[in-house]
Amino acid sequence: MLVEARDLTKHFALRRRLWLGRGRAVVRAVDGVSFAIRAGETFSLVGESGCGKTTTARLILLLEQPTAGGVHFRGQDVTRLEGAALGEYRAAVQAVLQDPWSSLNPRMRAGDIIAEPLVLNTGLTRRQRSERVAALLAAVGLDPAVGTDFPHEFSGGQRQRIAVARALALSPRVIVLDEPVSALDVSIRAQIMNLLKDLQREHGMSYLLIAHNLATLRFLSHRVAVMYLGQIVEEASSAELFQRPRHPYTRALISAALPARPDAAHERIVLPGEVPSPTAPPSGCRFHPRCPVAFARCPVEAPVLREVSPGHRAACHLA
Amino acid sequence: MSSAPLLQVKDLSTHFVTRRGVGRAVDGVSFTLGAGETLGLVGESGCGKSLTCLSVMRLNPRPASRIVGGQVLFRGEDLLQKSEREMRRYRGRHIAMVLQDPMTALNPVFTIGNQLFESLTLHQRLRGRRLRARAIEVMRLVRVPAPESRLRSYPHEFSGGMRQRTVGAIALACQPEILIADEPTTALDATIQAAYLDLLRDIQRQSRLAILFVTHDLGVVAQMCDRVAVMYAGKIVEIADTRRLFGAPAHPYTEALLRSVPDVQEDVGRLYSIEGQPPSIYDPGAGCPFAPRCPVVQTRCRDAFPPGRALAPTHAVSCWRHLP
Repeated sequence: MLVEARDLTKHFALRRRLWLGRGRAVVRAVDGVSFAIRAGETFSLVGESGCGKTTTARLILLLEQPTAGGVHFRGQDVTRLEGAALGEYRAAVQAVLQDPWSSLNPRMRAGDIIAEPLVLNTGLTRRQRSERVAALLAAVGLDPAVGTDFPHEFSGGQRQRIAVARALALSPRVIVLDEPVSALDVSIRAQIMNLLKDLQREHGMSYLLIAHNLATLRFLSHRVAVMYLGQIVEEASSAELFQRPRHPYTRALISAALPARPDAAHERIVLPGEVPSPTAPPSGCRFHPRCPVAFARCPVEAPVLREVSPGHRAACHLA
Repeated sequence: MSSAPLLQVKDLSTHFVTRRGVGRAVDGVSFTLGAGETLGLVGESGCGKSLTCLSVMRLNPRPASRIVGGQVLFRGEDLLQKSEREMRRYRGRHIAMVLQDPMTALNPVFTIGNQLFESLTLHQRLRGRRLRARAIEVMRLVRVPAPESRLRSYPHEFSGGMRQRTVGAIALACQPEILIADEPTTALDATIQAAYLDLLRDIQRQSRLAILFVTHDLGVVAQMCDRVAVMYAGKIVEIADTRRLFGAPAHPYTEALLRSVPDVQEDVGRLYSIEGQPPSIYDPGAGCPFAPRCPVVQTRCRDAFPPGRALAPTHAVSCWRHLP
C-alpha cells in the first residue's frame, strides 16, 4: 500500500445559518472515505459534481486538512507533517490538474515551469537542470527546443504535456490526475491518455485519477471507486466494476456513458431529479430519493460499504 | 420527413478578418435539415462548427468575422439577404439557439420568469395571465419541477442541469421550427446529460422540431442524431446518416476520430491517435487541409480540395480516395 485514505472526512462550515437558526450549515464534502492505492496501479475516483472527488484529491495532496481521518504514505500518517518531511511527501506525490490554461504560469517559459520543482527541491546545477528538462520534454513527446516558448504559444494538449512533464520532474511515486483530459479535444485526449499509460509502464508510478468520463477511466484504471455525496458507494477492479456493477448508482452512471456506436446494446437508466445539496444529504442511504430500486429500509438505515465478492465492495442493502 | 428541407445551407463561407490576415473559418459549407430530424455537426475545437451555427443565425461576431458567401435558405427564403430588423423576427421565433454555458445565456440579475417572458412578449405578444400560463407550460415541458414557484428564482439558484433546461424552455417558448444546440450537454454530468437528451428527443417527437446538434462527443451523436456532418478546418469532409457514418466511414479523418474514442464497454491496450494538429485557418494551404495528417494521403491531395462525391443517397464525402 503506497497511499491510503483512512476514514477521510472534510466538512466545510458555511457562514449562513440553517433555517430555524440551529447552528451553521455544514457542507459534508467528504464523509468517511477509505481506500488504498498500490504501487504502479491507477486508482480512480468517479462521480458527478458535488460528490467530493476533487476534495478527496486535495486531501491526498495535503492541500486541505481533514476534519477527521488521515492520509497515510508507506504506512505513516502524513496528515500533520511540516517542514522537510512535508517537502518529501510533496515531492513524492505530484499533481496534474484539469485546466491546461490556468495551471501554467503565463509569464514563465515552458522550460522554467518544468524546472521549477527542481530549483525548489534539488541542488542540481543549471546545466543539470537544463538536461533534465530536455529529457522530460522528450519523455512527453515535445521537442526540447520548445522550452523557451511561453504557454500561450502551445495548444491545450501540448500544455497538458508540459503539466505532465512538470509533475514528472521529481520522479514522484504518485501523480494525482484531476480530470486530465476533459478539457481537450477527442483526438488529443487519445494522445495524452496513451502517454499517461506509457509513462506508468516505464516508471512504475501510481495514479490517483479523478474523472467523470467513464470511458477515459476504463482505459487507464486498475481499480475504481464510485463516489456519491461524499461517500464511496462501490469499489472494485476496473473490469469487475464495468462488467458486474452492484450499486444502482454505478449502473446508472454506466448507462449514462453512452456507447460510442449507434445500435449498441444499451440498458438505459435515467435517474430522476438532481443530486441533493451536500449540506443536507438525505437520511439513510443518501442515494435513496433517486434510486430506481429503493425500498422501505433505504431511507431509514444507511447501508455499510462491505465486501460483496472478493475485492469488490458496495454500499447497498440490495447488493 | 417533409419533401423540401426546412433549412438549406449552400456554400456558406465566414471569414475572420484580423491583423493576422484572413482566416477561412467556415469555408464553403453546405447541408440540409428537414422537419423532425436531428443533424449532428461534429468536429474538434476550431473546426468552425460553432461559427457555422452563428452564421446561420447571422449572429457571427462583428466586425471580427464576415459572412462572405453562400446562402442560408429557411423555407426558401435566404436569411443572408435579410435586414437586421427582419432577422429579429426569425431569431427566437422560427430558429432558436441553445449554447454550452447556460450561465452566459441567462442574465444573472433577472428572474427566470422575466427571461422567459421576454421572447413570449416580443414574438407572441402575450400578456398577463396568458403570458404566465404559457411560461409555466413551457417550464413543465422541459420537466422543471414546481414551475410556478420557479419563475421568481434567479439563475444562480438553479443547478447546471436546471439552468440548461431553462435555457431550453426560453428557446422553445415560441415553438420554433429549428433548434440549434451548440454543445448543450458538454458541461453537464453524465446522468444529467442522459436525462436532458431524453427530454430533447421527447420534445422532438411531439413537435417535429428540427435540431442542428453541434458536439464533439460521438456517443451523443450515436444516440441523438439521424444524420451527421463531420467538419475539419472549416469544411465538411463527410456527411451521412448516422448508421452509415459509424459503420462505414469514408473519410480518413472520420475513421481516425471513431478509432480514437475509448468505449466504456471495451478494454483496449492502446488508443488510436492522430499525431499533429489541424492547420491554421489563416494559412490552410491549397489542397485538402487534412493532408499533412492523413495516413492515406496521395499527391493530388496537396494540390486541390476534392469535390464532393455521393457514395449513396444519404452519404457524401470529399476525399480523393473515393474519386477516380
